[in-house]
Amino acid sequence: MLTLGDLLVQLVEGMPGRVASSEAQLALETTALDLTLPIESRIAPGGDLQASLPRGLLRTGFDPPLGQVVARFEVASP
Amino acid sequence: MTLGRSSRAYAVQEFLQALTAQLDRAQDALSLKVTGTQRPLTWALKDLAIDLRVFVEVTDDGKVTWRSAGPNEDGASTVHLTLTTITRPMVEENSFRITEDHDARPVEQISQISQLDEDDRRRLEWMGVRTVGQLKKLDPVAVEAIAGIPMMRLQAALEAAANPVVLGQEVVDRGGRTLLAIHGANLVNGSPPEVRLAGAPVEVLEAKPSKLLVRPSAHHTEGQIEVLAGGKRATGFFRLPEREPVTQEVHR
Repeated sequence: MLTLGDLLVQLVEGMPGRVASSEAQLALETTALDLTLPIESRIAPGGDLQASLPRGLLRTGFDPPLGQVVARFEVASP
Repeated sequence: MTLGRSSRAYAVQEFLQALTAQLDRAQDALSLKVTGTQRPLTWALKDLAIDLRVFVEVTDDGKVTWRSAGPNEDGASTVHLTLTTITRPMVEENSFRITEDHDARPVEQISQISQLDEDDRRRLEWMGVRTVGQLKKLDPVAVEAIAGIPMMRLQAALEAAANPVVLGQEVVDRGGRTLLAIHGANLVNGSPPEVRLAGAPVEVLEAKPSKLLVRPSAHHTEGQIEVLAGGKRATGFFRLPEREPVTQEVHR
């Protein structure tokens, strides 16, 4: 499990902000990203929220109940 | 909701502070990637909603804690948290500015000399009162009505809070002169304070309730600090660095 903050960074950093084609002379820019994800979560010592995506095929029948994260990211200047 | 604290339960306040710190770090990480790659824009987290499956518990001392639901545990609550970004002006408008507090001592510090017990301190904390400066602004009658802290006990705490106290000292070098800054609370009370170092009166150059700046005499090296403010006395100790002896040229 990662901290929730690290999980969000991992999810969003793979998302391209801009895709361009020189042949078509066209560029597309992403302006916002909405994520709705089921998560396995636990509160770790120190109060840190740790989370991971559900296990899918690796489910054992002995997994914690799922929670959910809904996040909205927008493109901004740092 | 259950009573008592299990070993894997954490205070809500602790959890929320950790969560906001995590989100700050996540935003920093996203910004860092941009500055490292020379891209002009980055992703910024605007809104976040989290559903958590937890057991809500209350400890013996009244703290609310959350414990993550484990596998096959029935009856967990779903806590729905919604967070949004806020701007710096909004933070400043809604935050207590501790730098502007004229007496930033924590309330615990005077509870040792007053009759405020742990229960009283917790009730004050619920009211948002964390410093002695905030405590001094309270009306004891209103606090008794709202928080149930007996008026007499609060008045005694306010009296204790009004006494001058020396909390520390530091040596200040100003234009080659060695001065002593005395930090504390209530060091000025109406008339200018009198300060003695090792029993000898010294000149007070600057006087604020939380800080005095005095000029030690040449013979002062260490000893007792004594501050007399508003007829009350506070004491502490000072130690000055050893000074090189002054050599004087004698012309005949």
